[in-house]
Amino acid sequence: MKILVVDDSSAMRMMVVRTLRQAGFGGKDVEQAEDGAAALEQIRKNPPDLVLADWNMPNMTGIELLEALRAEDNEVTFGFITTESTKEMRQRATDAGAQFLIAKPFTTESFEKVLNTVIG
Amino acid sequence: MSSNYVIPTEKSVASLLAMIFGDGLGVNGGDAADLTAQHVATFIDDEDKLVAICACDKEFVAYSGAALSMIPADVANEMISGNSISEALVGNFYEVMNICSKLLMSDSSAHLRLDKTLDPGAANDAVASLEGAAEKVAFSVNIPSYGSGTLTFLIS
Repeated sequence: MKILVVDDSSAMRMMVVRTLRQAGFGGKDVEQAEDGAAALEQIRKNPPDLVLADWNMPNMTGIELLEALRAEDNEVTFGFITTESTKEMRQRATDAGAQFLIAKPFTTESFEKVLNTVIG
Repeated sequence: MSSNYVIPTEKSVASLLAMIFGDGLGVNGGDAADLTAQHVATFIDDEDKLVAICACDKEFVAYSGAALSMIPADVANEMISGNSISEALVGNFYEVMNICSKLLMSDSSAHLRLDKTLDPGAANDAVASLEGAAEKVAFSVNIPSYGSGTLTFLIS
């Protein structure tokens, strides 16, 4: 199981990795990318099983990354970890093909609740 | 004055920031100082128009940025004394402000997002464009194991 964490903030990527560990997913192979464009290249070369992406990022946003992946018929499991958690943005994420959205700031419990249903 | 956005309260600020910095976090009403001398986060709407700012003193920038990466408080205090906050901590402050965008929105409010953070003196135009025509609220925030700083919101 390989997880790709995509966020332009290195501190936030570190927090996501730490929270994954605290939520019981420490044994997974976790890689990182600093924006959507870097993630897209990484996914093409070395496909992960799960993408956890921020929404607002430079170069390519999280939603643009998801749309690009789906346009390439890449159906990798994709979830947002973002401050964009209004009803409207959640709907937009779902419509684009996201499986879930975890709101920032997040907790270990929110990771457990969502990720256990996705990757068990 | 009515706003299309949510006006933060001591309770909402404490609730949000405690999720990042821990339950010992304290929030009280604060006094807005000279905002042009502070670090300023700018927030824009879906048409990229400036709609809000959050001005923070160097203490809040250093303590929140350090706490996010679990950098020791002594390091943050040295930066405050030297009046020079590292690029890494300012980067972390950006993420704290990104999260703080949630304080200004609800399902029924207009949408905004963080645009950028500006160093002291670089946001004079942004401050001037909102000051006098916006809601203004200030808070003093004590981050557990670090210290206190202030943040002031101007919201159109």
